[in-house]
Amino acid sequence: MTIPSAVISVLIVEDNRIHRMCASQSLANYTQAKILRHNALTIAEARDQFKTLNPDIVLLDINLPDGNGLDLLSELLKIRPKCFIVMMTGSTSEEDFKRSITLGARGYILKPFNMQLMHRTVTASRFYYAHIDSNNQVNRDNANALFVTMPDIESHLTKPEPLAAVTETVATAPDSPPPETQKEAIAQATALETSPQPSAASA
Amino acid sequence: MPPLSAQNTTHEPVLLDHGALEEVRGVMKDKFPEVLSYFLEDSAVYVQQIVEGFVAGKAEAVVLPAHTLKSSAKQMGAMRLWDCSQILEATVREIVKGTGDLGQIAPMISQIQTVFQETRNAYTSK
Repeated sequence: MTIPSAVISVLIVEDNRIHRMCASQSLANYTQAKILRHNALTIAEARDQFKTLNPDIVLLDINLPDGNGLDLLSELLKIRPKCFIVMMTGSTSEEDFKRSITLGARGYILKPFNMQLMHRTVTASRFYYAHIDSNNQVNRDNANALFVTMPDIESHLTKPEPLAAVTETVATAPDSPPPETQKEAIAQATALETSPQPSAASA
Repeated sequence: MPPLSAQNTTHEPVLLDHGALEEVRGVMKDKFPEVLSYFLEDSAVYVQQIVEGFVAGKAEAVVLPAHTLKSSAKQMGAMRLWDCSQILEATVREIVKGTGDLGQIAPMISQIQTVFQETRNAYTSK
């Protein structure tokens, strides 16, 4: 289990250059990892770049000149189901939002966005990748660790730390003594697993 | 307190949201003049496309430039331009669906041209 690396590749699929520049520069200002930024202006370009660049994160607009980003979302997740794809759109349509989540988007950012939101997205993706195993499953212990370390995410957002420190915290968690809160969470999870389940007869 | 007659009672948004503008400036740093220049350049094209779509009687040709203009205007703090374009976009989407006719957007086309000029003047006079 490792956070993707000190280098994170982001594909920005956006036809509007104002949003593209603002998103790109916001990512460039992220201090906890080096961000490699790539741009695609159309669905066709995004499809090609996705295959060749294998990005960790895709920021995907919905209204694109050659089609609908939601169709592309579905297509990209068939290629790489674990990819961290976030919709970045001006659409306030409930239908677009619900469809995004149903199809497997990891987030829905409404334009105009701010830099903090971009940074949250990158941080969230790093924790996401750190807790998904090679079979695309969330490991129970890792998931518990994720929940108990949520305040840590907040602290990283407010007080940036070097990436190495973040990586070490997450990557070594299974082998190192967990913090008290984590111990408690794991103990609770274990207790739930080992305690007798209520039978239909007792219900 | 201005006299009642001078107060804005139509709930019209401010021309520029300086807070939003400062945020963009903070993010873009030395690239801010470049992004502002692109914004004004692209917006002029979108306004032109809106006018052309209207003149050609093609409501569907107005939707995308109105949508894009709406989106980038808000990012750049051009609130009145954002407001005009979002009303225009919503109206033409309804027209495309078959509700209403293109003639009803004539005043909006005129207004969006005026507001764009005002917006451009406000940016360049800063």
